[in-house]
This record gives sequence, structure tokens and C-alpha cells, in this order.
Amino acid sequence: MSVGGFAMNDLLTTIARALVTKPEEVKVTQIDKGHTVVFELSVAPEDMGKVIGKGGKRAQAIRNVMKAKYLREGKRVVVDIVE
Amino acid sequence: MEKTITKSGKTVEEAIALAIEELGVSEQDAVIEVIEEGGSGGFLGIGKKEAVVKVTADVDAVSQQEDEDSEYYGDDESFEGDAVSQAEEEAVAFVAEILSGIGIHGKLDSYREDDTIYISVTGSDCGTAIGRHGETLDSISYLTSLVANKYSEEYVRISLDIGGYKKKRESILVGLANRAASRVLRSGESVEMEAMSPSERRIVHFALQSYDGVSTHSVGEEPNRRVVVAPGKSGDAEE
Repeated sequence: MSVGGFAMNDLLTTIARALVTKPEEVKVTQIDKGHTVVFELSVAPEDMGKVIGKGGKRAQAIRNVMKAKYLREGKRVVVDIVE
Repeated sequence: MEKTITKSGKTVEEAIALAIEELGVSEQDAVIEVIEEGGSGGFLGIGKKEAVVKVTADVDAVSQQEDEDSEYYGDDESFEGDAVSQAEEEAVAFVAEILSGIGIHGKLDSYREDDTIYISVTGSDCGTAIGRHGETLDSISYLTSLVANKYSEEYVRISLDIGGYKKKRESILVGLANRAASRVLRSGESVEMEAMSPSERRIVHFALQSYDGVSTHSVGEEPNRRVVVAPGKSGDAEE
């Protein structure tokens, strides 16, 4: 079980790590802006496709799951995939 | 030997943590039933309720599994196993992680039939993981199939159901399909159904496959692709 702030972006890290070939290079930062939580996800350059997918299909699925989590707290979520 | 204990705590998470610690099992191996959600209680915190959970786990099976695991880690090279069962294990573990990440506690069951891994989740408060029109469920399902296929050479299909949503939806779709078909027979004109996901369209095509006097096909582009029920002899479902 996770402790403290880490638990917050746990879910995104878990999903990203499960999809990429280099899980050790998955980095997630979280910025709270009032009612919106912004996540910045970065992965190894060769893994970008693994988290974005064809036409952004994978990225959309990741966003949907994150949205569900924060909907319970009445918060909006933005997941940015950064290089 | 199966053991069941009931624990209470300030939050559901805390109660579960206490219970699995006492049983000496991991959360994944335990069947967790939330008896009382707990909460802030009434005015000024008067009547604040504690969360209560009932946790059941097969204590022997767990220790046996730990043995197997340590064997695996200790002797990596010679461990081959069944690729599909590894895919199943990874898929189930992934679903469990996502659900607990979202904050849902429930019971996971899985089995494999041919190339499909069926995973079903039952628990209270599943709605969050289903989402509007099953959108969240579809996303979890899609991500899980990506993860499962990372561990399998042959393509494995994931069929994920949460809180019986898919099953319920399936019977609704079959009902809609039959109603559309009888309308087609009465009027002699085609009926276009509402937009559906590929898996939902598959259910409709399949339901009307042997329905005499109608045929089905799909029109439009995703995500607005729809099944059309047309008069004609019952043919093969086209996708």
C-alpha cells in the first residue's frame, strides 16, 4: 500500500509501466490547480507510441481511467504526455 | 483452510489493511466484503461511523502460492510456464491494480476459454469503474488486453465485466435487436439502430444471425457506426 503523495499518481504510473518496454523510465509529476489535477507523464522516447497509441487511442483510455478516479472527488483531470 | 475475519477502522482502506495483515495474505488473495462504508457521520461528527469489512482468504493456498513464487524468482531461466496463463495472471493483476487505484474494492474471478480470458469483478460501488455507457469499463478492458498481449505470442481476447454491467447490457441489446427485427418484418423497411461499440454490434449481429427474414450489416464511421437490420433472408452477419 502506498503512502502519502505517492499514492496520488500511483495509478497513472502503474498503467504506464504496464504498457511500456522501459518501465524504469516512466516519470509522473502531478500539479494541483484547484479543481483540476494536471499530470505530466514522460516515458522513454521509444515508448511514446506505447502510451499514445494509434490515433491517441491508448492515451484516451488512460485519460478515461484517470477521469473515473477523480470524478469521485469532483475533480477534473488532465494527462499530458511530455517528451 | 479458509479463514474469515471482520475488522473495523476509520476508513475502508484502513479496515482492509488491518484484516489482511492479521490474515497474513496480500489484498489480491483476499475476498473483501465491505459491510459498512463508514463516513463522516452526522452533524458535528456526531454518530461518526466506522468502516467495517469482512475479509476471507484461503490461508493455506496463499502460503503455497508464495512457495511457487519464490521458486520462480530463484530459478528464472528454467521457468517457462504456459504463455496464456501468464497472460491471464498479468491481466488479472493489472485489473486489480487499476481498481484499487481508482479506489474500488471487490472480488475478481477469472477463467480462460480458448483465446479469451474472462475476468469478472463484483463488489459494491462498481459504478465508478463502469462509467457512462460503460466508457470506463471499455477503457480498462482495452488497456488490459494490451497488457495481456504483451505476455502472449498468440492473440488473447479480454472479456471484462464489472458489476454485471456487460451481462445486463447484453440482454438489453438482444431485446433491442429482436424488437428491431420484428419491426423490419412488419414494415418491410430497414431499421437503423443506435450507435454502438464494436463489441456491442457483435452482440446484435450474433443475436439476429438465425432470425428468419432479416439480415444485418453496419454503416457509418466509429464511434458512430450503427447496425442496420434489413429485410431479406437471414444471412451471415457482416461486420
